[in-house]
Amino acid sequence: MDRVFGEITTSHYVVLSALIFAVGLCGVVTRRNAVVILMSLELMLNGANLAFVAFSRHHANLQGQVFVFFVIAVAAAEAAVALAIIIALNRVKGGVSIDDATELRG
Amino acid sequence: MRDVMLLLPEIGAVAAVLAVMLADLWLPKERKGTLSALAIAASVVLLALTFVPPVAQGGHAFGGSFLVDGMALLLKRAFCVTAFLVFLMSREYVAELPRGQGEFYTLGLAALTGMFLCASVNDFMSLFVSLELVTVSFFVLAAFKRDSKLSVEAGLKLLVIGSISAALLLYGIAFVYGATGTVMFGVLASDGSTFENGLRTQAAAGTLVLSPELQLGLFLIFLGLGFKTSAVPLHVWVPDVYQGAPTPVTAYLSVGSKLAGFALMFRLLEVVSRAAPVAAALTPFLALVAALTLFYGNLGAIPQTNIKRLLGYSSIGQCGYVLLGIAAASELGLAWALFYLCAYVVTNLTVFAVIIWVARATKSHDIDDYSGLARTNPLLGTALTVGLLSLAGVPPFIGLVGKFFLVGSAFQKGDTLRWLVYVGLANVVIALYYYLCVVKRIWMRDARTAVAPAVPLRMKVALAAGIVALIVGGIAPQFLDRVTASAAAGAGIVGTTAR
Amino acid sequence: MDPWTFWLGGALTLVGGMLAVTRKNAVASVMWLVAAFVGMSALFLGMDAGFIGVIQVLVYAGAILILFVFVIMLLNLTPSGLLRIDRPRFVTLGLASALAFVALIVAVVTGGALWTGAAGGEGGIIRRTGEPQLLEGSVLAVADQLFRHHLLPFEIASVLLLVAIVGSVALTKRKL
Repeated sequence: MDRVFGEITTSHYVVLSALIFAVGLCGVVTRRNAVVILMSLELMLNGANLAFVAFSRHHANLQGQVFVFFVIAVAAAEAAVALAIIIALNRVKGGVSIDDATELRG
Repeated sequence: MRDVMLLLPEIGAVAAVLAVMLADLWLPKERKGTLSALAIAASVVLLALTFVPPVAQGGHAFGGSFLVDGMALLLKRAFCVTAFLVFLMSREYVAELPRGQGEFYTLGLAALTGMFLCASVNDFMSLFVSLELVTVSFFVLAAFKRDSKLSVEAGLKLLVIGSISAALLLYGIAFVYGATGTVMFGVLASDGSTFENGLRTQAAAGTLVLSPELQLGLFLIFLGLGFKTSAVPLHVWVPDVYQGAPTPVTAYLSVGSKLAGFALMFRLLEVVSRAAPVAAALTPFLALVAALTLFYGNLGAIPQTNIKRLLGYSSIGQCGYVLLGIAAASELGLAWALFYLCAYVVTNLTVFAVIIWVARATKSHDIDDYSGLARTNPLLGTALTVGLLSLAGVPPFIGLVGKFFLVGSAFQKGDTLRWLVYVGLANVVIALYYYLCVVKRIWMRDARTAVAPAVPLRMKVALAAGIVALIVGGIAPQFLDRVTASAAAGAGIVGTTAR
Repeated sequence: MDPWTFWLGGALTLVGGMLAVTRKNAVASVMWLVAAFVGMSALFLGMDAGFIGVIQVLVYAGAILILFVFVIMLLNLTPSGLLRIDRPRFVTLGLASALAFVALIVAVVTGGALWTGAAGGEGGIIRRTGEPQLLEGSVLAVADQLFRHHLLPFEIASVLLLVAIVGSVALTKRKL
């Protein structure tokens, strides 16, 4: 118990980041609403960001924090394109459910 | 200044992106065809730029973030050829799109920029951002026919799986960073002690073993890169997206995007191979992925009735062979993987060029529509036959040579990978079956449609050149072999300055 | 390192994240995700990553998630459409993969001894000699690292953002 509730170590942050990542993963798999799936993906990226910052502090170098900066830039670009695709999906199918995307199979 | 000269192809590619964007604004609607010419010309100029002395000599730039070596140069040239052929075959297709000609070429060239960078990146930050540049461009390109349900669905599927794989890759990078304290490949590779920070001495045997943290990180990274190369388990998007995306995009995706993923895999493998236990820990994992990928692709292809879907599964299978060479983790394996990929560029694009032209006449991608193609249009029929036979690995075409030596490189590793050799050989037989089924239709059946697709002279020349290249490459593989072997041997990471 | 920041910020992030992925109403999901990202920002600030903590709120919570809200409003989903969307699928698979992932990471982290020491302290494999440096992710320090050592990815990111602009316009603009 002391190891868990005692001093906060880098491992604490890593386990927390894994939990956040897993919540996002769960959301991606279980939801049908494409917008919510995107939000879950953002949560996964954030889990990784937390790990980066924790390691950055652990190693006392700033590479991890700079990496997070790039992840946020990439996430913004990805979100913009993703939302554009969802709007296009809504136009051709009249819905944003993953179930609306089932014409390609076999 | 020398730093900047090394980036000439990349700078040229960004300039081409901007040039096409601006030209699109100025050109009147009836003269948009110029954009296609501009994009084709750009890919030729970029190919020339890779031969300019400062670039061809190679070296480092940006404090070790950017590396030009033999492998990077070879891959960049392959990317230029890919872009050239894709733009060449998509001219009429794009001209008939209701909108967005300029955007198509802009994004195509942006993806090319990303691929160039993927060949040269030398740290994890650049790796992640360049990979996303390629991926995001392809999200848009796959959904480009935004009025078509199939195309938008393809874009969505690519997006979801692509983002999951990016998140896994990122988490893996975080773990490697956490274990070693750096994201620079140069530091990881040249400074042995950095890797040893992630390695722990095993007290009993006194040998170095991989720390579980580093192992997990590398495992997640290769899993994430497997999305690009269509390796199991992140291959699920491949058949759907290949079928739904506009055909030129499928062609580009099947060659360019896959090659970019392999470029990063090669680079990473080279970095980790500096610390022997790291490579040894990855080999069983990569071998398992290779075997699963081979079986999934080749068995899945058998019941297909849509030619684009069939090629999707076939492309998964082809990825399996390259993984075979990567799992062997030797210089020989790397050289033949490069050889195979260069051959794959020409082979697959020949096949897709035929598909684009047949679909222009028949408006469908049913395999039945290819019945009697050899009679209605001998050139298309011959080109498709040669392409498919080369993919299957039938003599005397180039595909056979690559397959033979990739399996051979796994054989060389001795007993540990012997089972993989049998898997590779079994899959050659399975693949032969479904490729020959298509070839049989082309030659044996009567023509179903009387429509003979009209092929412009430009494509006739390109197809004939493709057929000749596949045969000459198969009979005299030593030319390409010499190039790829020297590229694999010349791949090297020299010291770096960044902290 | 202040344990309170970790426990409170972590709890907010985790609970916010869980609610975000389970709410039926997509707008509620976004709002819970904003809460989660504010919690994340607190965690960053607790680790002296000031710059990242601020852009987490400014860019992530403030810009990206607001974009989500705009799109949800724009789509204007009907109640029947929402009902169809909100049945979950593959619940077992989702929970199993999430649990497996956490179990894998926990096993690796507790099995290895790499990061068990207090963050920034000793106990990690990489030991620094001399005085432990104070690592503060101020704007100046992050900018110095970014522009001195990582200029290339910065330049690539600019091309990526250009692609995102061109791509979104190509996919959604009504008259192109």
